Amino acid sequence: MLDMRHLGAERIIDRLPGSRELSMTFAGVDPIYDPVPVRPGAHYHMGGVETGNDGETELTGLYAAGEVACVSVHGANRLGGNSLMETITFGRRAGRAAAEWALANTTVDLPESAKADAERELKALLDVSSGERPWQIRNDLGTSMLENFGVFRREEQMTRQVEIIAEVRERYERGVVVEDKGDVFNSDLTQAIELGNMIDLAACMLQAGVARKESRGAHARPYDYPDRDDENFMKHSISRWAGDGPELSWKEVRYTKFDPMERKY
Amino acid sequence: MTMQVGLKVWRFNSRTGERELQEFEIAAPEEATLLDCLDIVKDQHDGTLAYRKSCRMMICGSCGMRMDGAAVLACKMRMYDIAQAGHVPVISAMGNLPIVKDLVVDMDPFWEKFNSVNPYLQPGYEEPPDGKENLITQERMNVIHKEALCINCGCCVSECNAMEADPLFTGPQALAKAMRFVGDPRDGQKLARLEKLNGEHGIWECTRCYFCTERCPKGVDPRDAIAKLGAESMKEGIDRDMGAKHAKWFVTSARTTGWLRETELVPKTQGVVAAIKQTRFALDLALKGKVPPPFPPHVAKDVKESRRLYDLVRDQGRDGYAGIVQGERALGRLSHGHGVGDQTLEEIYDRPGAYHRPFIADEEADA
Repeated sequence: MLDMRHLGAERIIDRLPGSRELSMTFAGVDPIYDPVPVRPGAHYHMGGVETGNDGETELTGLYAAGEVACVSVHGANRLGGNSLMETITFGRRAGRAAAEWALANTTVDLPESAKADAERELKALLDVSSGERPWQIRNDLGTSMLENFGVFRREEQMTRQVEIIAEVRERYERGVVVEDKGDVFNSDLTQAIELGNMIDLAACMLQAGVARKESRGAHARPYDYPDRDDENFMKHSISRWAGDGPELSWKEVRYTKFDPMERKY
Repeated sequence: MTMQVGLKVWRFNSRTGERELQEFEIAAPEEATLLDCLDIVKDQHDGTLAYRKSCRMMICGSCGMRMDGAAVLACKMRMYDIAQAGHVPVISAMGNLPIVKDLVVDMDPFWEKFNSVNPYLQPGYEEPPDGKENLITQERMNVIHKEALCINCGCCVSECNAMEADPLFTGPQALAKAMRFVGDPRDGQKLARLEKLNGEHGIWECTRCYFCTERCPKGVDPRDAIAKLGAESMKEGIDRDMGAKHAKWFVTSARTTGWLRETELVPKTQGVVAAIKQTRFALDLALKGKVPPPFPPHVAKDVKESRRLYDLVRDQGRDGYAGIVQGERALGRLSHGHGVGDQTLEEIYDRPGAYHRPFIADEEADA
């Protein structure tokens, strides 16, 4: 329970109107009068596609911005305002750079096979007529990730989750049924594709999480590595997809004006 | 705990143009919202159902749709009471926008109107002297508090009667957004904005049905915003539109006689030529006693009061949008059937059935 009553009606209405609206709508609780039931939830994705200051990525012509991108300004902490920086500042820069690139490069050299591969994958996904619906797999993925890779992380749970992900992937690759075969706003298809991406992403997160033997920002391992270890882990985790699994590497942290320091509040 | 929820969903196939009302009966958790129910339908009953969604917490504005003919945010709509009552609501796509598929509408016309009001701050202030920031008081920002809550969901546009009559009407969302900048003390384009908003398809096309205000899931009150834009336009002398003239005549007649001088309303609003064309109609009304004869003017006994009110508004500078803004806080008005903020903290802690008072370690020591 989160008790905000001591703040008083005026401050709650003035300063926390959005939180009050959420509490009243979803929990039926007015925080002026009662404590609000709370639980962990995925609020914001730190990390993401590695970009430079103009949203450019490793792939020429591909730009990333917002929650999907990682300009690496804030590190592993979800500080108030992370997302503002990603959208307002770097979103603007990425948008501008992407537009400039698109205007200067009207055609892109793509191997014919890339397009054929994508089309074949889509067709294969749409052709499955019997098997599991994606939602069952998605639910199992979400539930197990929350349990084993949630707020506080334990080595053995993370290792177990790696196995669970392998099972989930096997189920997914056996073929999931997409009921919508149409080509207008087919969110059944996009959700099935996204599920595949989520499984890949979970594998990357787990590999990096197990390897990072320290606690930093949102990566908390209070049972085996409760402290931050700048000597060994003051570095970015970089995941690349290598054929059938993620490949982890590290990248130096570049800092200029401010020296990184432990958060002590 | 689960509950049984019935839904009737208007399906639409844009390829064939076919519409079909399809009924679903699902089991959902008791705390489920309409969006949760649609997710269950899509996952477990019919994967072809299409609707937009993203944040699931009333901030992205993706899941606007209609329930029983009224626009709602699906993620905000708790279904428990409806299901318990045995009601099977009809779910359909928003109005005033072309349907792409099932519950998904084409938002392009919406964004065009949104962009037409130039929804970005146009700074007009001097650079602060020492390179520091310009500070604006909270009070001055409170003026646009409600307008700034808009999440661009389109519920107001869906319900707009004026837009149904004229699809080119700028509409409640774009106009509320316009007020968000007209009322912003940092914006330097106020007059240019008001000029444009007084043009064709602008603020005076609103029929004041208040559906936008009624259905907005965030408490933006677009109709209020449109009223503020009208008042501010007139204050700035932008009053060429019939709507402005009409409103001005109400003020003039109240100030001079304390009554509405209806006979003169038509010439003052529509001009003399239009008024002459309606002479016959006016005479008929007069014969039936519907309008008083213009001469001698009928002056109210306490006309001084109405004149005093007029002066007061002028003296306090409340003749523009300031007269409509009362330091309002849209979300602050949310209440659960009791007054908000009229109890002390002790009273709140001591209410029967209240959650126990939290233990704060150093409280005693501090006291």
